[in-house]
Amino acid sequence: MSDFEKLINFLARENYGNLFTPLCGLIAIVTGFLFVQKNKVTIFFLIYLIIDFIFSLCDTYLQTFSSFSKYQIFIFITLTNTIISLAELLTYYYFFSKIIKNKSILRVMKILGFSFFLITVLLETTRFAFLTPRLIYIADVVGALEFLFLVPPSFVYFYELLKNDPVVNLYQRPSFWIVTGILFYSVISIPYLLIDRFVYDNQYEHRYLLDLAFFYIPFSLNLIFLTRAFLCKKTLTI
Amino acid sequence: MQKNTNDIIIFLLVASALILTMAVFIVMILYVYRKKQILFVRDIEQIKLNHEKTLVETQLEMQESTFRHISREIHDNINLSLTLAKLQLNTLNWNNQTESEQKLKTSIELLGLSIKELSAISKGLNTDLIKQQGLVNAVRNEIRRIRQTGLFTIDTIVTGNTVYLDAEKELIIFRMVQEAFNNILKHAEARHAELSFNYTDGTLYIAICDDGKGFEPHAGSGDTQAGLKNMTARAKMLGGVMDISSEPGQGTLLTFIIPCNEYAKRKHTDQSSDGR
Repeated sequence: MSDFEKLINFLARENYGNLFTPLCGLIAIVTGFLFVQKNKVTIFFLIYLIIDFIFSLCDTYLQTFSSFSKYQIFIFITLTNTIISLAELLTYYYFFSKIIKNKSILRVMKILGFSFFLITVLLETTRFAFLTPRLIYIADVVGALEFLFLVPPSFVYFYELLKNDPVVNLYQRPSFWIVTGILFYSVISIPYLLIDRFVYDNQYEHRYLLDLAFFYIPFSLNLIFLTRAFLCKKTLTI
Repeated sequence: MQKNTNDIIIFLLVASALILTMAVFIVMILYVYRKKQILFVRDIEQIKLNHEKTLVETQLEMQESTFRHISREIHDNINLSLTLAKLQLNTLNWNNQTESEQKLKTSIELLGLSIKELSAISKGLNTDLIKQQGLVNAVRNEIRRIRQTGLFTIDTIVTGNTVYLDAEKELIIFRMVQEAFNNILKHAEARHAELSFNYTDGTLYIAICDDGKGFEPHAGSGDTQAGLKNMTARAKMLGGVMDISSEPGQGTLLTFIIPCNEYAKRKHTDQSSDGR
């Protein structure tokens, strides 16, 4: 079987989700570079998108062409996914810190962000070898935790949005697209990450379809919303 | 196996319900925001409309006040001078050459005085100067005109970076200053007055003080109260305030605080004093 056939088979098995999502990521990166005012928030978003894009390519390469064992690949994916989660959480928290005015929420976000950073460092360095549950379960819980931490600031954003004077049209607010995207992605991903291992362990026949419906599509939607935010041609924090 | 499939179906149902809830949530946010935005735009338009209405009312009131002023000036000064001139000319006695020459001379002087007064009224009414040279220069011109009456001396002090407001607003401020000086001319019996313009932190502070006979601000006649009320209303319309401080025998201090931070600084730094 040629490399190309291997790649096509792999993509087909995953219902082309792992082709479509990095493509959306690439579009977001290009749009971000071309259309958005460069400030700290934009740079954080671009770094996060680039990290995610590179790791997605690496994952695809490893799963298609490499001669590493399945366990080794799994460890690599888990560790890179955790780095992506950390980059994602810190980027969005930085973004939220620029748009949310409630100081108590900002303080809580600082604590949550720091806690998540510690958990990530612990996972990367020890792989939770000291715990009874396998890394395989812990990694999903850590992923779910990230999205759980992203939901409250999103709701606070909408609360403050409705509380303040609606000077700018909602569709022209980059923050509206960004927060809507991450909220959708988070709310759908939390239950899925918690059931993910159960689905794989039981070899559920439509597991790849579930991956597509509850991970790839929401993530791609988030990236499309991010691209839309970049196209607003306004500072992302508006 | 059947149990596992059921668990996954339950998960699918829960996940679908979550997606639906999120979609409804976002649609509701859009709806509420849109509704709020419509109300907000309506409020802004109402505020704009009210402001424009007040502006028109103030302009009309200023116009009325100007007409009254012209009417008084014509009646009290020009009319008097012209009547006297006419009287002098009517009673010319051609048989008495010396007396006729004297009367002609007086008539010419009276006509000259009338022309001068007409010219002064015309200059006071001309608002083009404000549009062309700005408020400060127009006020300086007005002060120069008042100085020519020789009734009292005036010092003017301008400090800070001059901010140029739009012509309509500068005209209102100009009329307020003009009215304040007209009051000094008519009622204060002052020997000295001082005018200061201070532009600081996006605010224009105007102070006009005199060493005249002063008055009780809350116990003045109907006209005085109406005049002060008009000036207060004009200052308020510009988003500012007016304050008056006076006591009988202690002179009068009139201050205006007018915000002008929304306007760009168009010209050079104007820090000058041309007092004498």
